[in-house]
Amino acid sequence: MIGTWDIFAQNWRYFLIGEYPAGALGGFALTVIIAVVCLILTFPSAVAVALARTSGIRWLAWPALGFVYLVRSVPLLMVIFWAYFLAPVILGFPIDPLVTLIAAICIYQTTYLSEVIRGGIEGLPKGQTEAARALGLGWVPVTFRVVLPQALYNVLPGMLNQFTMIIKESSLGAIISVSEVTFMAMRVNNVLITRPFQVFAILGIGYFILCFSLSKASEYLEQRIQRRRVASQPA
Amino acid sequence: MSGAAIAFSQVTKRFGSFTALDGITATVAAGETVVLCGPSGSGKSTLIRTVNRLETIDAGRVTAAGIDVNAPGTDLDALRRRIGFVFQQLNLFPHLRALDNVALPLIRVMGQRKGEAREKARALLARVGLSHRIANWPAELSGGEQQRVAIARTLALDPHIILFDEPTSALDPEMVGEVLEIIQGLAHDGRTIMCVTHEMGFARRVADRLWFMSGGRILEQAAPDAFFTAPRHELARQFLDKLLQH
Repeated sequence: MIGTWDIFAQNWRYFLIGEYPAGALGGFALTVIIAVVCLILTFPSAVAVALARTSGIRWLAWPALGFVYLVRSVPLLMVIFWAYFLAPVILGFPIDPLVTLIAAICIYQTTYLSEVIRGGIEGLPKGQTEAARALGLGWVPVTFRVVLPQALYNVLPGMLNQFTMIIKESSLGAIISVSEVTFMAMRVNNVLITRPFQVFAILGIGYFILCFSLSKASEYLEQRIQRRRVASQPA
Repeated sequence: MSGAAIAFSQVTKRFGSFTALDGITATVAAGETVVLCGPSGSGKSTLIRTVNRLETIDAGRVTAAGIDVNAPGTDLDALRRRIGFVFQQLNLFPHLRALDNVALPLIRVMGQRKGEAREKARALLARVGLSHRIANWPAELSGGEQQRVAIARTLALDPHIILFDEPTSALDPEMVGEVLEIIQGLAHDGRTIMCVTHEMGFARRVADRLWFMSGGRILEQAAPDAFFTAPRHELARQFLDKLLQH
């Protein structure tokens, strides 16, 4: 891949921060921001949907089920298009493409992540909630002190999967002109015309570094909890 | 009925077409220790699980500590605070150390502050002989130790009624004694106890009365001596013969 480094050396600003400071912040930095914001928003909403689905209360469980089935059955790109073209019509004012992208990813990933978390909740031995209930603990401590700490830990690998998906799906922002790193790579490519392999190799390395560090971070977290807890197992 | 800590009246429970409890009527007096025995599937566990509504019932009425357990307005959490339950599967919270397993209900049910709760938890663990294990994770404890922590956790709320569902069945034989000893101590404390167990020696020493169950009915209620020397019911006789063969 001749010249990959040269291309990066000449265009690193575009790749890393987009047009900033002349224009809005973009590139790799924006990708990281999108990913972090999406993670922060998706996680609690996925927990909420998972709790609704496992609540055993119909008027909570059914809408959650409907939401998951509906969103899971369409491609993310379509959710983005809907949010991009339809939301302004319904709301009556234009929405920033960045907000559109973040909203679409959050809605979409909430369904997948909630299913992972639901698996963790339903996989817990029934005795855990029974023991907590038998002590007279109410819903809040049962959920947040007994169920979720165990369930979330048990599905950490599955959650990590979804988190890396979130990072990679932010690349779809390029289609609605969100100037994240894929969009910037496309622009660099359009200027250079003849070097697509080099340009997209740089892009690939960027995503790899991001996802790989997240994997490492979660591995570290997993080991730390495991050291603290030994193996969690029903007797 | 005065003096009754727990009263069952025509209690019926079905699982599909299987009748687990078939119109049970019986009472447990305050401070009394009742041991339930009988073949598996006879409804012993199901019966004690109806007392704190881990199991709902299809007909009849269960009263515990003066509260109608299945009445629509019953504050279930408040009821359960007054009734301890010890499980066959131990059911410690694996993500909490022994001390925090015991402190959790004190903090989250009694509203105690953390320091205060831990102090009390320490005392409770000392009472079950586990002062040296307070900082251990459940997975680091033997089955017998885990069950003793579970009993300490139940005692945290100082319940007047304690239900034991085969508390030693999941334990290795050498650990059975340490757990039974603690239960015996609780029985002498004046607490009301219902205990499902196959430990007949324990039943004979500790029980005020034995209930022999089969097919969702209580076939015989008797003092332990009477029951072991001269069971009145044919099925009880067969059950004892089988147990004593070994």
